[in-house]
Amino acid sequence: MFLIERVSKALAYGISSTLNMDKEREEIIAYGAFAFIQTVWSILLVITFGIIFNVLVQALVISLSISLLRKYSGGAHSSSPNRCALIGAVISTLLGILVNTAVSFMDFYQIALAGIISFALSYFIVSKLAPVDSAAKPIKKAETRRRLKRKSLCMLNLLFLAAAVLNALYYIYDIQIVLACALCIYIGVIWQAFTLTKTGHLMLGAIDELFRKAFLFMGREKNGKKIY
Amino acid sequence: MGKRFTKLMVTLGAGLFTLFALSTSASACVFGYYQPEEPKALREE
Repeated sequence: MFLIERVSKALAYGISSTLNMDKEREEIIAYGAFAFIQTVWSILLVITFGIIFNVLVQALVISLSISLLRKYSGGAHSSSPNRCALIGAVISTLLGILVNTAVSFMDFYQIALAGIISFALSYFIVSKLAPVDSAAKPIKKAETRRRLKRKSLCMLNLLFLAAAVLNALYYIYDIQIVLACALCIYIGVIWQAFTLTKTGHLMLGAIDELFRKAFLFMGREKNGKKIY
Repeated sequence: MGKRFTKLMVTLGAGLFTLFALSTSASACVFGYYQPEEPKALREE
């Protein structure tokens, strides 16, 4: 069992025994505690990497764009919560560095064009593939699939609106970081749409395997089992 | 006083975690790239 799972189960046990809850309710609280700790841990890692590589705002905007869309569209998964948080932080930071480099040589119109292409592709992929479920959380009902697809497209609309507002603000006030944030939304959205595809699954699987081998090399895992 | 405060905090924690569980259950996956197994009570059959 992973550390975060152990902590969330211990928390749920403490809460349920204090409030005299049944086993079913304890499982729900453990699941919620896991989601909460995982979210906080992932954000903390993004902040840490963002500060180290001086792309804090960019990494946070990218991570937020990915997560908002991912909540409803689903996508490729990592096999461990720690690797998941680390992969998320590394990807957000790398894309943040890419955005920083791109805004230094791209003008407003080129970035707007990149945005149009990114959203057009994302709308196409999301409307074709979302929601992408996983073995741990299969989506069986057709109604749920329709609802999640609708919400994924709504989220894309919201992100498009946010990017349009940022573009307008840049056009009026000429603040570079605002344009960088718009580009972060474009990159976050297209990356998340990419993880819905088969190639995205393969790529994320390869990244996950790379991190697993790195953890193994550093002695944090033995024979595929966690040792901490 | 101390016991009441502890019970209040535990109740708030239970509420927060339940909210997170229901929100996660209503969506396709959790925040990051790892998806834990959903509890039976929240699974759709």
